[in-house]
Amino acid sequence: MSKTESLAKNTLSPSLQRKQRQRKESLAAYAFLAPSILIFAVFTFFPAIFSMVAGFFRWNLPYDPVFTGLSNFEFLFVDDIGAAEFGKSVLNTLYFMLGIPINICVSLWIAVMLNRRLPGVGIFRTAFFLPTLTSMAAISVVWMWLYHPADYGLFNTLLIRFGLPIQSWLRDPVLAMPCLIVLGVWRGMGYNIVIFLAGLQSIPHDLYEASEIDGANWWGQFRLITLPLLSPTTFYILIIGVINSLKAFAEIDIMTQGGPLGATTTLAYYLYQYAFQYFQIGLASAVAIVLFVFILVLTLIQFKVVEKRVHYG
Amino acid sequence: MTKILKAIVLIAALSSVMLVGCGGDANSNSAGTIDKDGHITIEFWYALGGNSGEVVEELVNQFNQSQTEITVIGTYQGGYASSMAKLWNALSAKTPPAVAQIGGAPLVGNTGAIIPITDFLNQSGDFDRDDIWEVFWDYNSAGGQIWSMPFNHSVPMLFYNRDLFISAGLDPDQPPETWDEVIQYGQLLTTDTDDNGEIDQWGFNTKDDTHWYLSTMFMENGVEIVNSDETEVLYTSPEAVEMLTLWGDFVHKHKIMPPNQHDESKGDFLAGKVGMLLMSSSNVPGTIQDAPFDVGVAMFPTIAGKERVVPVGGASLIILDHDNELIKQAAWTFIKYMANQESSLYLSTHTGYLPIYKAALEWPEMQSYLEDNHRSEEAILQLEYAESIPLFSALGSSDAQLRVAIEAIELGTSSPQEVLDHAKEVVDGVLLDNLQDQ
Amino acid sequence: MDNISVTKVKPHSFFKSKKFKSAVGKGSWYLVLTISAIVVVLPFIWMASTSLKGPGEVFAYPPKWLPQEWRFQNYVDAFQAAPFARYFYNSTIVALCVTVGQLVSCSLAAFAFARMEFKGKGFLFSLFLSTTMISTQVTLVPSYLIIQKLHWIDTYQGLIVPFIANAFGIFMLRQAFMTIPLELEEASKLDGCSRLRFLWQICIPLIKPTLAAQALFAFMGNWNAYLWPLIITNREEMRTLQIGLRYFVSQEGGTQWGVYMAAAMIVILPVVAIYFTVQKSFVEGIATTGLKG
Repeated sequence: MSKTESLAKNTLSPSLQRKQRQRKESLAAYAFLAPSILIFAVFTFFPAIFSMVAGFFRWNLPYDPVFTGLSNFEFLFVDDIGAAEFGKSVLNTLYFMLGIPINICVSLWIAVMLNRRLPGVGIFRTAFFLPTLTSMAAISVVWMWLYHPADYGLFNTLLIRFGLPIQSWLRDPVLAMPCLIVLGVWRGMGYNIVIFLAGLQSIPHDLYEASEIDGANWWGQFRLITLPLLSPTTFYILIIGVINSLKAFAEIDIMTQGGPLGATTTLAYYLYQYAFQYFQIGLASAVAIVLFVFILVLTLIQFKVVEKRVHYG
Repeated sequence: MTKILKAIVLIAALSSVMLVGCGGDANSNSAGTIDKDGHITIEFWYALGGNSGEVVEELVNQFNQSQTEITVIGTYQGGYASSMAKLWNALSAKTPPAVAQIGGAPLVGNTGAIIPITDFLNQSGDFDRDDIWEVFWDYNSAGGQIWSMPFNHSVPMLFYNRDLFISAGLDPDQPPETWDEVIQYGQLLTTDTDDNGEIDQWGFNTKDDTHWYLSTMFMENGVEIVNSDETEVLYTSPEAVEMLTLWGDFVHKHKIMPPNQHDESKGDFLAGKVGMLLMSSSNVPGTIQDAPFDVGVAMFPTIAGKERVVPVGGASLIILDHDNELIKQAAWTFIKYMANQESSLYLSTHTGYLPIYKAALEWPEMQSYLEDNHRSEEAILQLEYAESIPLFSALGSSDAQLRVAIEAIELGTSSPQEVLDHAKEVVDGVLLDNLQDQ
Repeated sequence: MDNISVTKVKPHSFFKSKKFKSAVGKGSWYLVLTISAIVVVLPFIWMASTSLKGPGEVFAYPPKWLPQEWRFQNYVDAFQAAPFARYFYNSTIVALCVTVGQLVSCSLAAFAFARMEFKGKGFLFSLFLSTTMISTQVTLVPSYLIIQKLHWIDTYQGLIVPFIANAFGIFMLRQAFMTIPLELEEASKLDGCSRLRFLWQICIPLIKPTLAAQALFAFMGNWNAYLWPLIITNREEMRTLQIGLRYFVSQEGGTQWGVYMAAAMIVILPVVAIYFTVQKSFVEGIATTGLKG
């Protein structure tokens, strides 16, 4: 550093010095952030915007993309065949989400039961958590076996034992989706229970004591204390549940491939089919746009509900 | 806010450029390379896994050892559907191999990405087209061009469990020849073996490529699949409805087939829970090896009083377009080798695929093979009756729609006429839509 | 803050009320939980039992819970029919690399968000968090095309790199970094300690529990990943366990349920084993993130 420069530096006003320091810190911060920024840019933001653009192109591999404006959306929303197919996949997605409230009820119930210090609680907790831990691919293979349509399938064996006619489960267009929902509840429960337990443990005990003095029974306590104070937790579980339902793929791919008769083709699977089985990249991107808007709207609704209903303790 | 907007516009513009520029980087040399000594290395993608895949690899090795100018590197790309996907993607990325094994090769012909082998066949004196069954050339042709070299082909067959035939009081040497007999035998074979009130041994089923067996039944009843302009499919005729009705009757009226259980059917057959099963002839050796019982193989059932006719299936070898003439010639040399008599003999005696040569049954090696493997003979004999299903641009969705139609009929959700009308509506739409890409 | 109210009363006094003290209550509590737990674990038991049955017994009616003849050959068959050892290796490599990569990149980013001042901080942070809203499906096709352009199909980097950045991890670690008292940083600055050294030598050891939880999430999440490895692997030797299992089960050749269940066991067992060794921090990890969400 030359003399004049160092002199100049010394005579810099404090505010300029601060600015310089800030700039240096900014630079360092961006260096720290660089890996994340780079990967998000390449594998999240660029693809997301790319999808937004590609949705307006006719792009059937191996042909080159051609700009066609809204024609993909026309196919999805107006075309006789296209709209019927796409509408069905939207309804299937919503149907699949029926698993979320069921899951919340079941896991809350079990969490309340587990929220006690009695010997053996740990074992139960482990048991309920086990399904969450295992991969969906493996679980799907196992449940495909449980749902086997012949009389030696486990569920059919049970039906026969109770004198009921056997079912084809995943091969039956009416039963296939409920089958997937049951599997989803079974698998997702463990995660929710752990989170509910954490929520339950943060509720101060004196609240229950006080209400007991007031003569409240178990149900009253649950309704007036547990439920309201758990609402942030429930809300969190709800959001995670929605995101996970929209993502659900492995079980459909392994167990039903969207069938029978399209009964289990959700939006995610529909998109996959168009992109990776029919090679219609433009149309798949249009579906991606719809999916994106779908998530956005659901999130907004959720936040609206939250403003009104959720009590933050 | 404006900054975010600016950023979004910028990235959107960038994406558009990339989209349009996707056709950009041509001349990628992944298909083949020529080193300074003139030695050519080409890439070959194949679609057969397991034992059949090993046989393909072995043929590639044999080719590499048979000469010194060309080295072929074979890579397995998954089954037919997956290989097609890989090829589609590679074509859009301009990185295709030199040679690929593809089911329904003429369909790729439309894209301009492959070169028809008609020209090579005409210039090559050492390859006599007439030695090979005409049906295979048909199967590989579209629009007056031969797009691909016949390679591994098969026909649909009726497999049956000889042990179950005996226990049902049927003669295992007299498999059913007509659909009436299939129903009659099927009823004898369908039982509740453990008396729990549920049928657990079914008389009849088909493998999960149900559209292929329905197409065969269509052909038997004189149904044309598609019109000659390839602008509409024709399976809404009374003859087609009749065959789909017969299919539904297997399930609902005669109760010899469980509804919608084709994914499990081969496993159930191997477990002795299905009496008769429609499958591709490519399954003959594997099924005989895996089944703990005596397997019978018979020709595909016919309609009483009508001619026997069967389609061929399987995959063929295509040459992808390349700027370098030497690489194209090398590709031709390779596929010519893969389809020659020795290779065909090797393939058909090591897998369930059929020899493509008319004279195959007269080859001494083939005769001695068939002495030990007599059950492979029926399929070869059936080639006499083979015809090709026309390959049209919407064949993929047509097959998918036929599968859906069968599913709906088996589940009893609509009538045969309704589902076929719907299938036609969808497929005709795809045919029309495909015109835009060409 | 909550501690005060909790310590005021005796813990668990609620459960010491006469209603819950009664043996009947306890008994029925155990009964209901035991039944539910058995229902939940039943599929696993059925899987384990089928994995040891021969083909004859698998299809037998009525089915037996215990195999008559224990057939370990199913496991041997599974390993012989498909390269599960290779799949296992791939899954391990990918999950480990993603875990390490995520910890590094998330720690760096989280540290910047928690302890540094820079232009655009708020905007960038919400931008990062917004990635959790962009579903995988939305970015699936373009990401695939990018991987293809990079010639990363069938490579480890294709399986690893896109998952190195993780908004959730950044969020969690940022919360943890914010709890570190400011005085520590001042002191280290006086010692002439660089930021990176401060992060590495002082902060990281302090937030070990959070890091461990994040590591577990990253590992499990990637070990169980399905869609991405499905679309970007073609060659058998690049498949992960999940994808290998999928192809193994859907391949031609029928339904050898005994062998399939053995294969499913092979896929499930390592994760279960890890879980039992680190059970406590795992559950705590989920619980803390759950509260913070």
